[in-house]
Amino acid sequence: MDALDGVNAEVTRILAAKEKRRHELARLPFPEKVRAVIQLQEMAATILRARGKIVKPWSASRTGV
Amino acid sequence: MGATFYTEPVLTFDLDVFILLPSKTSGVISLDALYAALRRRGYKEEREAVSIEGVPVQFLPAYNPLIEEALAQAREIDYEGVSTRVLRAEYLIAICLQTGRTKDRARVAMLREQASIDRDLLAEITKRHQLKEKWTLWTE
Repeated sequence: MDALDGVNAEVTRILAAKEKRRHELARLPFPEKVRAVIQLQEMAATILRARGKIVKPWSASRTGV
Repeated sequence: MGATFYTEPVLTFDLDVFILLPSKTSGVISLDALYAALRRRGYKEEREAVSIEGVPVQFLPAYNPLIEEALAQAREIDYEGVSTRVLRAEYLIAICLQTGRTKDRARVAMLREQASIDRDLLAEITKRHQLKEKWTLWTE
């Protein structure tokens, strides 16, 4: 039971840290969020292209960020 | 992209821009003039969107009183020196409630979790646009 409680405590700590990080991301300045979106697009584009779907990540220089 | 202003960055490949068009006596709404002006600037239509500097942008005429009100109440923000209008989080929630898809429900959950919401304003909007029941259903 102790081991399980230990795991639960660790999982709770990890989930709380994830939640905190999401709130920190939500508070980023908008241009930084746009940069993050472009990064997400580039990561997703590789996977989507492998599936045959054509997507075009935005250009950071074109969007001015 | 509007929701990303209030929440963590989420993956999207296009931009939706709500627009108010001058009303016509015939009642027919046309985006032809807008598309023609964009073509003159070198931006071409790609299916339902216009590619502007590589970003597919969809122009959506305000199609009901809630959207018109949301546009009227939009916040003016400065984006790298360019003045931009972003819908308030409370209106984004109301529009999601009205649209009602699974992804809208997820977006409402995210906005509730991460954005600073004016509860009184949201209650007033949902009441005025008959969305209170949906709000209760999605949040209880």
